[in-house]
Amino acid sequence: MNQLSPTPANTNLPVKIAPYTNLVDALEYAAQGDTGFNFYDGRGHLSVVLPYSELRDEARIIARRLLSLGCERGARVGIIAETEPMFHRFFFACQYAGLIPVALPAGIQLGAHGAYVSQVRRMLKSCGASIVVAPDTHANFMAEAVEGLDLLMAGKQSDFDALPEADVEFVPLGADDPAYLQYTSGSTSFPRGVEVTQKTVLNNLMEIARYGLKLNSEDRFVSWLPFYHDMGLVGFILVPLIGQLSVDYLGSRTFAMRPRLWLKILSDNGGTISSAPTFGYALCAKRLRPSDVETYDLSHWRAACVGAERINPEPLQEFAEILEPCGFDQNAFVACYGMAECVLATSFAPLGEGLSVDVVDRKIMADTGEARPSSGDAISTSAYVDCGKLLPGFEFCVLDDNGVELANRHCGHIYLKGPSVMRGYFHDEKSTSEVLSEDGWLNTGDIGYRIDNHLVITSRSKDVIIIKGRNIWPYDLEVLAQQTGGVKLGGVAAFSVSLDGNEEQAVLVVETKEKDADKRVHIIEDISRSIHAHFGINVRIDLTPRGTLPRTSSGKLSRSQSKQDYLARKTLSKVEKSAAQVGDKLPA
Amino acid sequence: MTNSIEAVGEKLAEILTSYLKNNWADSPSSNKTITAATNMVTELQLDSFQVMEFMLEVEDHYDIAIDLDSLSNIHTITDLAAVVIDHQD
Repeated sequence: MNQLSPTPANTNLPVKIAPYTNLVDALEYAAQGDTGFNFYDGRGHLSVVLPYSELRDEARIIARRLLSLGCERGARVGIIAETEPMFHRFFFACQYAGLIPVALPAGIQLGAHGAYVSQVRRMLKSCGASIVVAPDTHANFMAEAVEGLDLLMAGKQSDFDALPEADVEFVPLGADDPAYLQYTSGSTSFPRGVEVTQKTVLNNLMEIARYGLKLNSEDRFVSWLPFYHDMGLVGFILVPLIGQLSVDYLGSRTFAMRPRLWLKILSDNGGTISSAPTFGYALCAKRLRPSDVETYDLSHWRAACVGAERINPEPLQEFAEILEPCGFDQNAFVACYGMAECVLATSFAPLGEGLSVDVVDRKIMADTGEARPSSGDAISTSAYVDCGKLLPGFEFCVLDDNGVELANRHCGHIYLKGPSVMRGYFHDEKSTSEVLSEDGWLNTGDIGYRIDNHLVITSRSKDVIIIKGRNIWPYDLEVLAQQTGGVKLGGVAAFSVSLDGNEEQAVLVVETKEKDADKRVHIIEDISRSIHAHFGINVRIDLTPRGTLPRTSSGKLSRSQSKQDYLARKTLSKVEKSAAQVGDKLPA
Repeated sequence: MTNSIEAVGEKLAEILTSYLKNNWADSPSSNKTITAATNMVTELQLDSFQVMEFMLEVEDHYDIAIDLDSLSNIHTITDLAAVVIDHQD
């Protein structure tokens, strides 16, 4: 039996990042080389090799089968996006057939059968899907999710094999047609699908490849990120495609079970580009064994991208220290900023320079919004990671609450404009007009400041706590809480509530393992004291068991969900109290 | 009678207890008494990464592969024991 070998680095095809009219053009070009996609199984063994040339052939066959169903041009095809070659085949089949693929979540939690089925169903209804395909592992969930929906077909990949191949000329999606719909993470109850056109995605891919990552023919990608997130789909299917480069995939569940396999594949195959949110690096560092460090060679890894939420430098520095003996260079860290509304990426820190941290005076920041550099101690300062220069196609501005443009180093709302900005949310004019102006400026919803042409993100704007006219960044309160005893990094969420119509009140939900009542009181007192000392505000502190703060599907701490949970707990305890009072009055 | 649901449940409680002690000593779940009736979602509040690591230990111990359909319906240790027995047959 022949042993599989992964697709090689690109040795024979000149790198061509642009121009392309659509993703079909890009695939047709890449298919002339030997590179492609490699899928590793749960034990880290190579299980499927899918060169671009085979993907092209298979996608064409599936496209003819889909067209035999008689669907309209632009009909939506939901694909449950497990880390399997099936996703690539159907995604590109849609490109040939003139259909719009929609990646659906594949992550399933313990005991979450009903929640998962309703999430998929909401998305299918939102995009008005005509066709749905699922991997075998998800067939039963899909069957439940599509019950009663008006579809042309829902099935497993093998069910589609039985369809006849329509004898038609392909009319692939044009430059102004959608390339796919991207559901944004976090929007589980009201899904919003970003409509990404061919022109838009190709523009962002070109900018990422040419200016963000500066791809060359030696590059090789490694990823465990799910394809239903923009980072997985765009960053690790489409960016490699545009550079005709090979990719090695590990399933997200496999990464969760065996995070060390990520580094093993990077080491074995000489991976040069891989991304993760901060927690991915932290989890991996926690599971490493001393013997791994002796065997790995991570010296090829030139771009270790870090994105999603605010970047926390500490766990990354720890990761770099542990892996330094196997050639990992901490200057490989690249801070990135982006969002699905701009395809994927809007800014990259300079390559090869590592994380650049801007240390500013905390009090001035809270009082005036000015990010004034400071050399003070950790208590009097806040540290923010510089997310680098915007890709050349973007313009940005930082505006105050009244829409007036702010100067350098003043915090405000970040707006972006450029050819990679979305046209809007699919069939959702209301949500679109909330974030996108008629002249094309996107309100990112993020807060930050500029240092000349560099961008620094400080917070999500909806998260800002405004007390007596002062803007207080939740992250700053969280950092203070973490500096007191017994509170772990990431174990605290800050937000504001306005209870009973009164003014805003800052709340910190703090995870703790402490059970002793006196010690719990101490924790609350210590944090309150520290925050009062630094910000002069009173906060409510709610202790919760370790591991209970809500996170989004991409692992970000969800402050808004923490707030909802908190309010629900308060309402519940009120109800319980009044029920107890009623109970007291009843005769025994 | 080594594979009665009670016996498997006891063994699983033992695996989970030592998994939490070995890997998450600072988590409140690591001090809890875990029994066959323990609800892993609501009582232990395991996060998705902890769940997957624990499942890996269970799979390795019994040499089985737990499918997603089963996983999505598991709440208690007893639920998991039933899945293990089912997969051993």
